[in-house]
Amino acid sequence: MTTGVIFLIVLAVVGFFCVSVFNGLVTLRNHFKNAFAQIDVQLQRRYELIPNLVEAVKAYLGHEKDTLTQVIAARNQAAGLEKIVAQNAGNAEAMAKLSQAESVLTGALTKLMVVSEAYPDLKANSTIQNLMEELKSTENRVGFARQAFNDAVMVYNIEREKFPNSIIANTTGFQQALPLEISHVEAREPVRISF
Amino acid sequence: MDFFSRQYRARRTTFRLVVYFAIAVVLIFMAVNALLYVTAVASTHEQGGGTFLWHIWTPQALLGTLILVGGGSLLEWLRLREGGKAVAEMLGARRIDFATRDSQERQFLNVTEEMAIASGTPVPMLYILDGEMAINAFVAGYNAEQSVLVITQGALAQLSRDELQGVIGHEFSHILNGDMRINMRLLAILAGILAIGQAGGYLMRSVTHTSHRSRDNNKNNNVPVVFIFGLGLWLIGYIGLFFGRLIKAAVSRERETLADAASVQFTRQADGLAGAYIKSHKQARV
Repeated sequence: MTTGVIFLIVLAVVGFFCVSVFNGLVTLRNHFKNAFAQIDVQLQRRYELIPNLVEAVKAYLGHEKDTLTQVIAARNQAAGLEKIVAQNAGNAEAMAKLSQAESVLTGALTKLMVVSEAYPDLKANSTIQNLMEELKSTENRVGFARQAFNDAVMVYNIEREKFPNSIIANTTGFQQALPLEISHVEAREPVRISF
Repeated sequence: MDFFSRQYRARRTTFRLVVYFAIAVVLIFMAVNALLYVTAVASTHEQGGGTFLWHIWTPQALLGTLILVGGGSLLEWLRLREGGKAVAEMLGARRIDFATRDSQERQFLNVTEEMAIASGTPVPMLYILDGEMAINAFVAGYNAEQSVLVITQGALAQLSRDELQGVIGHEFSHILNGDMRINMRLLAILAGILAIGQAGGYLMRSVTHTSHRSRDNNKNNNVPVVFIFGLGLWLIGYIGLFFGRLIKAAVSRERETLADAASVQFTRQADGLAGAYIKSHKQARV
């Protein structure tokens, strides 16, 4: 009689443990999914901000038309590809094209920021400074969003792979999450700025 | 050791310290209980029976201590629960408008938003302490939704963008890890322990006053007993307070280490925060 009760108690404890591990994994999986969506939010903000910034800067950097044109072109390219990716989630080729366009855009923006730094009278202009700050912040936000996603993926993967969580995770279909990596070899090259 | 491991270590240490704190509170209960036993035996009202740990007055002792500690804690907790906004406004800080055009404030807003993204925390209400030239920042508030972050004008003026971001990352860790909440709870319990000491002091004072006026022979028997009981409570209260404060200080130190490591995690570079500390240290020495 007592052994039966003990057995039931042990079973209940193990059951509770399994449920809590499962719930923990569900929570962490949703965390990193949310973090992935956040990257998109920051990218959208960037796509919307850039045309406005370029318009405002045109008056001051009129003689740097090339740089500005490059920025707008890169932005349009990236925004268009992002729409395609949003419609075909999981298409690896579209994702690869998008990340390439993104790196081109980052390069163009960096060039714009560097170019404006080279003009001392422009540097002193507070309007330009404010705009450059906004641009800097936008780039930072995209970076931080990606970083936050990678951190969330790491926390989820640790929880998923620990023992005995791994047993529960594998039987209930929790798969390994992939962090964002630079997929293109070209993107790893530092941006070359030519004057 | 990387910043993730440092955070893990700091969290484990905090857990241990909180356990010590709980043990200290239990010891206080037991001490009051023992004191009551000694008092009861020494006075003429108790003829023996029971032991140090459990006697006929134990339930009253426990209840009395619980009411004192719990009541003191509750009062302190209610006072602290007003929310971060009250703290910020009490200090005369100015709320920063989201549509501000001041470039320093804009930078501060952007830097804070970036840290919010990196840490997965909502942006708290932002305040600035105008006229305060020292480099300083703090957070207040019970939970993430009603938190405030206050920064001094000196910090905005003297710190570079990276240094400012390091400091804000440190503060965000406090919000994210509930450090303000831990602090408030420990403070509340300490207030309860203090209440025991104060009760003891009150008892001592009250019998010292009445003994001058009492002419009744019966009263004289109880005066030294009540006085000693009060003295005992006073000692327990203030010794408990001493050790409680020691533990609380150790907890605060660990949470600060955790916040530094978390800041490095969010910004992925240590130079910013380090630079800010160096600058504020230099300033303090002047």
